[in-house]
Amino acid sequence: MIRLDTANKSLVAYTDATATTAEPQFVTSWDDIDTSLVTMTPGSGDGLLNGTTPVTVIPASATARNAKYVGIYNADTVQHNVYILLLDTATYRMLFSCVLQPGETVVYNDGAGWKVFNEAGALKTVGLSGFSGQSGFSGFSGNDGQSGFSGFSGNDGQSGFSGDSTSGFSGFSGNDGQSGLSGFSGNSTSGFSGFSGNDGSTGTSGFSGFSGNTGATGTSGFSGNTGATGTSGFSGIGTSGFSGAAPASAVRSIMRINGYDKELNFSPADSTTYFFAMDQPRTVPYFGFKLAYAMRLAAVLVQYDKAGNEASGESSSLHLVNSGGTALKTITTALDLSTGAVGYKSVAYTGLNYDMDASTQYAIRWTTPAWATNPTFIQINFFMYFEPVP
Amino acid sequence: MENYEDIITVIDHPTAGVLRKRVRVFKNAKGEEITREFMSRVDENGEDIPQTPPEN
Repeated sequence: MIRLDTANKSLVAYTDATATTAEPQFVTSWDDIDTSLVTMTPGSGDGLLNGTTPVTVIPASATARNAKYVGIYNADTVQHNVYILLLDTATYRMLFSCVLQPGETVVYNDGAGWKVFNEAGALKTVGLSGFSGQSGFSGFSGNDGQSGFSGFSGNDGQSGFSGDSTSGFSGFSGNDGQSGLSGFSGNSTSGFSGFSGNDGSTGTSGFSGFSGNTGATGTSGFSGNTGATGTSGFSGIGTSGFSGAAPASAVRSIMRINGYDKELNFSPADSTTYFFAMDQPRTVPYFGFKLAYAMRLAAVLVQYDKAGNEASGESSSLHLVNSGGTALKTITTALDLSTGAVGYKSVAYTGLNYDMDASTQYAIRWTTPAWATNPTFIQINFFMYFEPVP
Repeated sequence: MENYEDIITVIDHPTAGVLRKRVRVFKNAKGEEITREFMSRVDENGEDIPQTPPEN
Protein backbone atom coordinates (compact mmCIF):
# COMPACT_ATOMS: atom_id res chain seq x y z
CA MET A 1 0.00 0.00 0.00
CA ILE A 2 1.15 3.44 -0.81
CA ARG A 3 -0.18 5.78 1.78
CA LEU A 4 -0.44 9.47 1.25
CA ASP A 5 -1.13 10.51 4.79
CA THR A 6 -0.50 14.23 4.61
CA ALA A 7 -1.88 16.98 2.50
CA ASN A 8 1.57 17.43 0.92
CA LYS A 9 1.99 13.98 -0.51
CA SER A 10 0.97 12.91 -3.95
CA LEU A 11 2.01 10.48 -6.64
CA VAL A 12 3.52 11.80 -9.85
CA ALA A 13 4.82 10.14 -13.00
CA TYR A 14 6.82 11.16 -16.07
CA THR A 15 8.75 9.62 -18.93
CA ASP A 16 12.17 10.09 -20.47
CA ALA A 17 10.96 12.03 -23.50
CA THR A 18 8.03 13.66 -25.14
CA ALA A 19 5.83 11.18 -26.93
CA THR A 20 6.26 10.62 -30.64
CA THR A 21 2.58 10.17 -31.36
CA ALA A 22 0.68 9.74 -28.06
CA GLU A 23 1.56 10.24 -24.41
CA PRO A 24 1.22 7.25 -22.04
CA GLN A 25 -2.14 6.96 -20.35
CA PHE A 26 -2.68 6.48 -16.64
CA VAL A 27 -5.56 5.26 -14.48
CA THR A 28 -5.50 5.40 -10.69
CA SER A 29 -7.79 4.75 -7.74
CA TRP A 30 -7.55 5.39 -4.06
CA ASP A 31 -9.43 5.42 -0.80
CA ASP A 32 -9.59 8.45 1.44
CA ILE A 33 -9.98 7.64 5.08
CA ASP A 34 -11.10 10.26 7.54
CA THR A 35 -10.26 8.86 10.88
CA SER A 36 -12.00 11.64 12.71
CA LEU A 37 -15.29 11.09 11.05
CA VAL A 38 -14.58 7.45 10.51
CA THR A 39 -15.41 7.68 6.84
CA MET A 40 -13.86 6.17 3.75
CA THR A 41 -14.27 7.86 0.41
CA PRO A 42 -13.19 6.05 -2.72
CA GLY A 43 -11.64 8.08 -5.56
CA SER A 44 -10.06 7.61 -8.91
CA GLY A 45 -8.23 9.51 -11.58
CA ASP A 46 -6.99 9.12 -15.12
CA GLY A 47 -5.19 11.15 -17.74
CA LEU A 48 -2.07 11.41 -19.88
CA LEU A 49 1.55 11.84 -18.97
CA ASN A 50 3.42 14.84 -20.34
CA GLY A 51 6.85 13.75 -21.44
CA THR A 52 9.56 14.70 -18.93
CA THR A 53 7.21 16.97 -16.95
CA PRO A 54 5.90 15.23 -13.79
CA VAL A 55 2.16 14.73 -13.90
CA THR A 56 0.13 14.11 -10.74
CA VAL A 57 -1.53 10.75 -11.06
CA ILE A 58 -2.87 10.62 -7.47
CA PRO A 59 -3.31 14.05 -5.92
CA ALA A 60 -2.75 14.91 -2.29
CA SER A 61 -5.67 14.93 0.10
CA ALA A 62 -6.47 16.55 3.38
CA THR A 63 -7.28 13.14 4.70
CA ALA A 64 -5.27 9.98 4.60
CA ARG A 65 -5.28 8.61 1.10
CA ASN A 66 -4.32 5.07 0.29
CA ALA A 67 -3.32 4.34 -3.24
CA LYS A 68 -5.13 1.23 -4.39
CA TYR A 69 -4.24 1.07 -8.05
CA VAL A 70 -1.91 2.75 -10.49
CA GLY A 71 -1.79 1.69 -14.15
CA ILE A 72 0.29 3.39 -16.90
CA TYR A 73 -0.07 2.23 -20.48
CA ASN A 74 2.45 3.17 -23.19
CA ALA A 75 0.24 4.37 -26.03
CA ASP A 76 3.22 5.71 -28.00
CA THR A 77 4.96 4.07 -30.96
CA VAL A 78 8.35 4.03 -29.24
CA GLN A 79 9.53 2.69 -25.92
CA HIS A 80 9.73 4.95 -22.89
CA ASN A 81 11.30 4.87 -19.49
CA VAL A 82 8.47 5.47 -17.04
CA TYR A 83 9.12 6.89 -13.60
CA ILE A 84 6.56 6.88 -10.70
CA LEU A 85 7.53 8.98 -7.71
CA LEU A 86 6.21 10.11 -4.37
CA LEU A 87 6.17 13.89 -4.10
CA ASP A 88 6.29 15.23 -0.56
CA THR A 89 5.96 18.98 -0.68
CA ALA A 90 8.94 19.57 -3.04
CA THR A 91 10.87 16.36 -2.58
CA TYR A 92 10.63 13.48 -5.01
CA ARG A 93 11.11 9.89 -3.98
CA MET A 94 11.40 7.29 -6.67
CA LEU A 95 8.88 4.52 -6.24
CA PHE A 96 9.26 2.56 -9.42
CA SER A 97 10.72 2.87 -12.86
CA CYS A 98 10.75 0.57 -15.82
CA VAL A 99 10.96 0.44 -19.59
CA LEU A 100 7.65 0.17 -21.37
CA GLN A 101 7.60 -0.99 -24.97
CA PRO A 102 4.70 0.25 -27.09
CA GLY A 103 1.51 -1.40 -25.84
CA GLU A 104 2.96 -2.43 -22.48
CA THR A 105 1.44 -1.51 -19.12
CA VAL A 106 2.95 -1.10 -15.67
CA VAL A 107 0.47 -1.80 -12.87
CA TYR A 108 0.54 -1.21 -9.20
CA ASN A 109 -2.04 -3.12 -7.18
CA ASP A 110 -2.40 -2.71 -3.52
CA GLY A 111 -1.13 -5.92 -2.01
CA ALA A 112 0.42 -7.13 -5.30
CA GLY A 113 3.04 -4.49 -5.94
CA TRP A 114 4.39 -3.34 -9.37
CA LYS A 115 4.13 -5.57 -12.40
CA VAL A 116 4.69 -5.04 -16.11
CA PHE A 117 2.43 -6.63 -18.69
CA ASN A 118 3.30 -6.96 -22.33
CA GLU A 119 1.13 -6.00 -25.23
CA ALA A 120 -0.61 -9.35 -25.07
CA GLY A 121 -1.46 -8.86 -21.42
CA ALA A 122 1.02 -11.41 -20.19
CA LEU A 123 3.21 -10.69 -17.24
CA LYS A 124 6.50 -9.53 -18.53
CA THR A 125 9.69 -11.11 -17.31
CA VAL A 126 13.13 -9.87 -17.99
CA GLY A 127 15.84 -12.11 -19.37
CA LEU A 128 16.50 -15.59 -18.34
CA SER A 129 15.53 -16.27 -14.86
CA GLY A 130 18.37 -16.95 -12.59
CA PHE A 131 18.46 -19.69 -10.20
CA SER A 132 15.75 -19.40 -7.77
CA GLY A 133 17.05 -18.53 -4.44
CA GLN A 134 16.06 -20.23 -1.35
CA SER A 135 12.71 -19.46 -0.21
CA GLY A 136 12.77 -17.10 2.58
CA PHE A 137 11.43 -17.81 5.85
CA SER A 138 7.82 -17.47 6.08
CA GLY A 139 6.90 -14.35 7.74
CA PHE A 140 5.22 -14.21 10.95
CA SER A 141 1.60 -14.08 10.84
CA GLY A 142 0.47 -10.69 11.48
CA ASN A 143 -1.57 -9.67 14.34
CA ASP A 144 -5.18 -9.43 13.84
CA GLY A 145 -6.11 -6.23 12.43
CA GLN A 146 -8.38 -3.77 13.89
CA SER A 147 -11.90 -4.44 13.39
CA GLY A 148 -13.27 -2.85 10.43
CA PHE A 149 -15.37 0.12 10.55
CA SER A 150 -18.88 -0.52 11.02
CA GLY A 151 -21.01 -0.05 8.09
CA PHE A 152 -23.19 2.86 7.88
CA SER A 153 -26.67 2.23 8.80
CA GLY A 154 -28.18 4.22 6.15
CA ASN A 155 -31.74 5.18 6.50
CA ASP A 156 -31.99 5.20 2.86
CA GLY A 157 -31.36 1.61 2.74
CA GLN A 158 -27.79 1.62 1.67
CA SER A 159 -26.27 -1.13 3.49
CA GLY A 160 -23.26 -0.28 5.37
CA PHE A 161 -20.43 -2.55 5.77
CA SER A 162 -21.45 -5.40 7.87
CA GLY A 163 -19.45 -5.15 10.92
CA ASP A 164 -19.52 -8.72 11.85
CA SER A 165 -18.63 -10.00 8.56
CA THR A 166 -15.85 -7.65 7.95
CA SER A 167 -12.69 -9.28 8.63
CA GLY A 168 -10.09 -7.35 10.40
CA PHE A 169 -7.28 -6.01 8.50
CA SER A 170 -5.09 -8.66 7.34
CA GLY A 171 -1.96 -9.03 9.25
CA PHE A 172 1.22 -7.92 7.80
CA SER A 173 2.58 -10.20 5.24
CA GLY A 174 5.76 -11.83 6.09
CA ASN A 175 8.90 -10.70 4.49
CA ASP A 176 9.59 -12.01 1.06
CA GLY A 177 12.19 -14.56 0.81
CA GLN A 178 15.57 -13.53 -0.49
CA SER A 179 15.81 -13.83 -4.21
CA GLY A 180 18.22 -16.32 -5.49
CA LEU A 181 21.29 -15.21 -7.39
CA SER A 182 20.77 -14.69 -11.04
CA GLY A 183 22.66 -16.94 -13.34
CA PHE A 184 25.50 -15.55 -15.32
CA SER A 185 24.95 -14.80 -18.90
CA GLY A 186 27.14 -16.49 -21.46
CA ASN A 187 30.07 -14.73 -23.09
CA SER A 188 27.96 -13.46 -25.89
CA THR A 189 29.15 -9.89 -25.84
CA SER A 190 31.21 -8.98 -28.85
CA GLY A 191 34.26 -6.81 -28.54
CA PHE A 192 34.27 -3.27 -29.73
CA SER A 193 35.02 -2.68 -33.36
CA GLY A 194 38.21 -0.83 -34.15
CA PHE A 195 38.17 2.72 -35.37
CA SER A 196 38.30 3.30 -39.10
CA GLY A 197 41.57 4.71 -40.46
CA ASN A 198 41.84 8.19 -41.92
CA ASP A 199 41.16 8.64 -45.61
CA GLY A 200 44.18 8.87 -47.86
CA SER A 201 45.14 12.11 -49.65
CA THR A 202 43.73 12.85 -53.06
CA GLY A 203 46.06 11.81 -55.86
CA THR A 204 47.49 14.21 -58.48
CA SER A 205 45.35 14.64 -61.57
CA GLY A 206 46.64 12.95 -64.70
CA PHE A 207 47.79 14.78 -67.84
CA SER A 208 45.12 15.82 -70.31
CA GLY A 209 45.03 13.91 -73.56
CA PHE A 210 45.91 15.45 -76.93
CA SER A 211 43.13 16.99 -79.00
CA GLY A 212 42.03 15.02 -82.01
CA ASN A 213 42.65 16.16 -85.60
CA THR A 214 40.11 18.43 -87.26
CA GLY A 215 37.69 16.55 -89.45
CA ALA A 216 37.40 17.17 -93.20
CA THR A 217 34.92 19.78 -94.43
CA GLY A 218 31.61 18.30 -95.34
CA THR A 219 30.17 18.37 -98.85
CA SER A 220 27.95 21.32 -99.68
CA GLY A 221 24.30 20.58 -100.02
CA PHE A 222 22.48 20.61 -103.34
CA SER A 223 20.84 23.80 -104.53
CA GLY A 224 17.10 23.82 -104.36
CA ASN A 225 14.93 23.80 -107.46
CA THR A 226 13.88 27.06 -109.04
CA GLY A 227 10.53 28.17 -107.81
CA ALA A 228 7.52 28.39 -110.06
CA THR A 229 6.87 31.62 -111.96
CA GLY A 230 4.44 33.84 -110.16
CA THR A 231 1.12 34.90 -111.58
CA SER A 232 1.09 38.15 -113.51
CA GLY A 233 -0.66 41.03 -111.84
CA PHE A 234 -3.74 42.74 -113.20
CA SER A 235 -3.30 45.71 -115.45
CA GLY A 236 -4.51 48.92 -113.90
CA ILE A 237 -6.98 51.23 -115.63
CA GLY A 238 -5.53 54.54 -114.60
CA THR A 239 -6.23 57.88 -116.22
CA SER A 240 -3.32 59.38 -118.02
CA GLY A 241 -1.78 62.25 -116.14
CA PHE A 242 -1.31 65.74 -117.40
CA SER A 243 1.90 66.54 -119.14
CA GLY A 244 3.85 68.53 -116.66
CA ALA A 245 7.05 70.44 -117.06
CA ALA A 246 9.88 68.28 -118.15
CA PRO A 247 12.09 67.39 -115.23
CA ALA A 248 15.67 68.48 -115.43
CA SER A 249 16.81 64.88 -115.42
CA ALA A 250 15.03 64.32 -118.74
CA VAL A 251 17.12 66.88 -120.58
CA ARG A 252 19.44 65.05 -122.95
CA SER A 253 21.37 67.87 -124.64
CA ILE A 254 22.17 71.54 -124.46
CA MET A 255 22.92 73.90 -127.34
CA ARG A 256 24.62 77.20 -126.85
CA ILE A 257 23.75 80.02 -129.26
CA ASN A 258 26.62 82.43 -128.96
CA GLY A 259 25.43 85.98 -129.09
CA TYR A 260 28.93 87.42 -129.06
CA ASP A 261 32.26 86.50 -127.60
CA LYS A 262 33.79 88.52 -124.87
CA GLU A 263 35.95 90.40 -127.30
CA LEU A 264 33.00 91.14 -129.53
CA ASN A 265 30.91 93.29 -127.31
CA PHE A 266 27.62 94.24 -128.78
CA SER A 267 25.53 97.33 -128.28
CA PRO A 268 22.01 96.65 -129.53
CA ALA A 269 20.11 99.38 -131.19
CA ASP A 270 16.56 100.51 -130.34
CA SER A 271 13.50 98.73 -131.72
CA THR A 272 15.62 96.33 -133.75
CA THR A 273 15.19 92.66 -134.48
CA TYR A 274 18.31 90.53 -134.14
CA PHE A 275 18.66 86.92 -135.26
CA PHE A 276 21.05 84.65 -133.42
CA ALA A 277 22.08 81.41 -135.16
CA MET A 278 25.38 80.57 -136.83
CA ASP A 279 26.97 83.97 -136.95
CA GLN A 280 27.00 87.37 -135.36
CA PRO A 281 23.61 88.79 -134.48
CA ARG A 282 22.08 89.96 -137.65
CA THR A 283 19.20 92.28 -138.29
CA VAL A 284 17.99 90.21 -141.24
CA PRO A 285 17.33 86.44 -141.30
CA TYR A 286 20.34 84.41 -142.15
CA PHE A 287 21.22 80.72 -142.10
CA GLY A 288 19.84 79.02 -139.09
CA PHE A 289 21.00 75.98 -137.14
CA LYS A 290 19.60 72.50 -137.68
CA LEU A 291 19.10 69.48 -135.47
CA ALA A 292 20.35 66.01 -136.32
CA TYR A 293 17.00 64.57 -135.28
CA ALA A 294 13.79 65.82 -133.83
CA MET A 295 14.02 67.04 -130.28
CA ARG A 296 11.74 68.82 -127.91
CA LEU A 297 12.81 72.28 -126.78
CA ALA A 298 12.28 72.24 -123.03
CA ALA A 299 13.82 75.50 -121.89
CA VAL A 300 15.98 78.45 -122.85
CA LEU A 301 18.39 80.07 -120.42
CA VAL A 302 19.59 83.58 -121.23
CA GLN A 303 22.98 84.53 -119.81
CA TYR A 304 24.27 88.05 -120.28
CA ASP A 305 26.60 90.76 -119.13
CA LYS A 306 26.61 94.41 -120.13
CA ALA A 307 27.88 97.87 -119.35
CA GLY A 308 25.09 100.32 -119.98
CA ASN A 309 22.25 100.65 -117.52
CA GLU A 310 18.98 100.71 -119.28
CA ALA A 311 15.84 101.57 -117.36
CA SER A 312 13.93 98.78 -115.74
CA GLY A 313 10.71 97.62 -117.29
CA GLU A 314 11.97 98.20 -120.79
CA SER A 315 11.37 94.62 -121.77
CA SER A 316 12.34 92.86 -124.93
CA SER A 317 11.05 89.59 -126.42
CA LEU A 318 12.56 86.30 -127.52
CA HIS A 319 11.15 83.86 -130.07
CA LEU A 320 12.18 80.66 -131.74
CA VAL A 321 11.96 81.35 -135.46
CA ASN A 322 12.74 79.65 -138.72
CA SER A 323 15.29 80.84 -141.20
CA GLY A 324 12.71 83.19 -142.73
CA GLY A 325 12.29 84.98 -139.40
CA THR A 326 8.81 83.63 -138.74
CA ALA A 327 8.12 83.04 -135.07
CA LEU A 328 7.59 79.35 -134.18
CA LYS A 329 7.56 79.58 -130.40
CA THR A 330 7.46 82.51 -128.04
CA ILE A 331 10.16 82.15 -125.45
CA THR A 332 9.37 85.35 -123.53
CA THR A 333 8.06 88.85 -124.05
CA ALA A 334 9.47 90.21 -120.83
CA LEU A 335 13.23 89.93 -121.01
CA ASP A 336 14.46 92.73 -118.77
CA LEU A 337 18.18 93.32 -118.80
CA SER A 338 18.05 96.03 -116.17
CA THR A 339 18.78 93.67 -113.30
CA GLY A 340 22.36 94.38 -112.43
CA ALA A 341 25.01 96.31 -114.22
CA VAL A 342 28.11 94.19 -113.73
CA GLY A 343 28.74 90.47 -113.91
CA TYR A 344 26.96 87.65 -115.67
CA LYS A 345 23.25 87.34 -115.03
CA SER A 346 20.95 84.59 -116.13
CA VAL A 347 17.27 83.99 -116.46
CA ALA A 348 15.61 80.73 -117.49
CA TYR A 349 12.39 80.15 -119.38
CA THR A 350 11.14 76.63 -118.88
CA GLY A 351 8.11 74.60 -119.87
CA LEU A 352 8.42 75.52 -123.55
CA ASN A 353 7.83 71.96 -124.80
CA TYR A 354 8.17 72.77 -128.46
CA ASP A 355 8.95 69.88 -130.77
CA MET A 356 11.63 70.82 -133.27
CA ASP A 357 12.21 68.70 -136.36
CA ALA A 358 15.42 67.81 -138.12
CA SER A 359 14.74 69.73 -141.35
CA THR A 360 14.00 73.29 -140.31
CA GLN A 361 16.69 75.87 -139.83
CA TYR A 362 16.12 77.62 -136.54
CA ALA A 363 17.23 80.86 -134.95
CA ILE A 364 16.60 82.91 -131.83
CA ARG A 365 14.99 86.22 -132.50
CA TRP A 366 15.49 89.10 -130.11
CA THR A 367 13.39 92.21 -130.54
CA THR A 368 14.69 95.18 -128.60
CA PRO A 369 12.60 98.06 -127.23
CA ALA A 370 13.20 101.78 -127.60
CA TRP A 371 15.44 102.26 -124.61
CA ALA A 372 15.77 105.48 -122.75
CA THR A 373 19.26 104.25 -121.93
CA ASN A 374 20.73 101.64 -124.23
CA PRO A 375 22.64 98.73 -122.80
CA THR A 376 26.07 98.73 -124.25
CA PHE A 377 28.84 96.28 -124.73
CA ILE A 378 26.53 93.43 -123.97
CA GLN A 379 27.57 89.79 -124.12
CA ILE A 380 24.58 87.52 -124.46
CA ASN A 381 24.27 83.74 -124.88
CA PHE A 382 21.27 81.47 -125.25
CA PHE A 383 21.43 77.93 -123.86
CA MET A 384 18.76 75.67 -125.36
CA TYR A 385 17.75 72.57 -123.36
CA PHE A 386 16.41 69.62 -125.34
CA GLU A 387 14.78 66.37 -124.43
CA PRO A 388 13.55 63.50 -126.58
CA VAL A 389 10.25 63.90 -128.29
CA PRO A 390 7.86 61.55 -126.50
CA MET B 1 32.26 94.55 -141.30
CA GLU B 2 34.33 97.07 -143.05
CA ASN B 3 31.32 98.73 -144.61
CA TYR B 4 29.10 100.67 -142.31
CA GLU B 5 27.07 103.78 -142.20
CA ASP B 6 26.15 105.94 -139.23
CA ILE B 7 22.64 107.22 -139.03
CA ILE B 8 20.78 109.34 -136.49
CA THR B 9 17.60 107.83 -135.12
CA VAL B 10 15.01 109.89 -133.27
CA ILE B 11 12.95 108.17 -130.57
CA ASP B 12 9.95 109.60 -128.84
CA HIS B 13 10.33 107.80 -125.56
CA PRO B 14 7.19 107.70 -123.40
CA THR B 15 9.03 108.88 -120.32
CA ALA B 16 12.39 110.18 -121.52
CA GLY B 17 10.98 112.27 -124.30
CA VAL B 18 12.63 112.74 -127.66
CA LEU B 19 15.97 111.00 -127.83
CA ARG B 20 18.51 111.22 -130.59
CA LYS B 21 20.91 108.35 -131.06
CA ARG B 22 23.64 107.56 -133.48
CA VAL B 23 23.40 104.04 -134.86
CA ARG B 24 26.01 102.31 -136.97
CA VAL B 25 24.61 100.11 -139.75
CA PHE B 26 26.96 97.43 -140.97
CA LYS B 27 26.58 96.23 -144.56
CA ASN B 28 28.03 93.54 -146.75
CA ALA B 29 29.80 94.03 -149.98
CA LYS B 30 26.55 94.20 -151.77
CA GLY B 31 25.46 97.07 -149.61
CA GLU B 32 22.90 94.96 -147.76
CA GLU B 33 22.50 95.51 -144.08
CA ILE B 34 23.94 92.81 -141.91
CA THR B 35 23.44 94.27 -138.45
CA ARG B 36 23.42 97.50 -136.58
CA GLU B 37 24.60 98.79 -133.21
CA PHE B 38 23.88 101.66 -130.91
CA MET B 39 26.86 103.98 -130.78
CA SER B 40 25.91 106.97 -128.63
CA ARG B 41 23.38 109.57 -127.71
CA VAL B 42 23.66 112.78 -129.65
CA ASP B 43 22.33 116.23 -129.18
CA GLU B 44 20.38 118.31 -131.66
CA ASN B 45 23.58 119.27 -133.35
CA GLY B 46 24.67 115.68 -133.83
CA GLU B 47 27.37 115.86 -131.16
CA ASP B 48 27.94 112.74 -129.02
CA ILE B 49 26.72 112.76 -125.46
CA PRO B 50 29.26 110.72 -123.47
CA GLN B 51 28.04 107.56 -121.76
CA THR B 52 29.53 105.40 -118.99
CA PRO B 53 32.44 103.43 -120.40
CA PRO B 54 32.24 99.66 -120.23
CA GLU B 55 33.75 98.00 -117.14
CA ASN B 56 34.72 94.75 -118.80
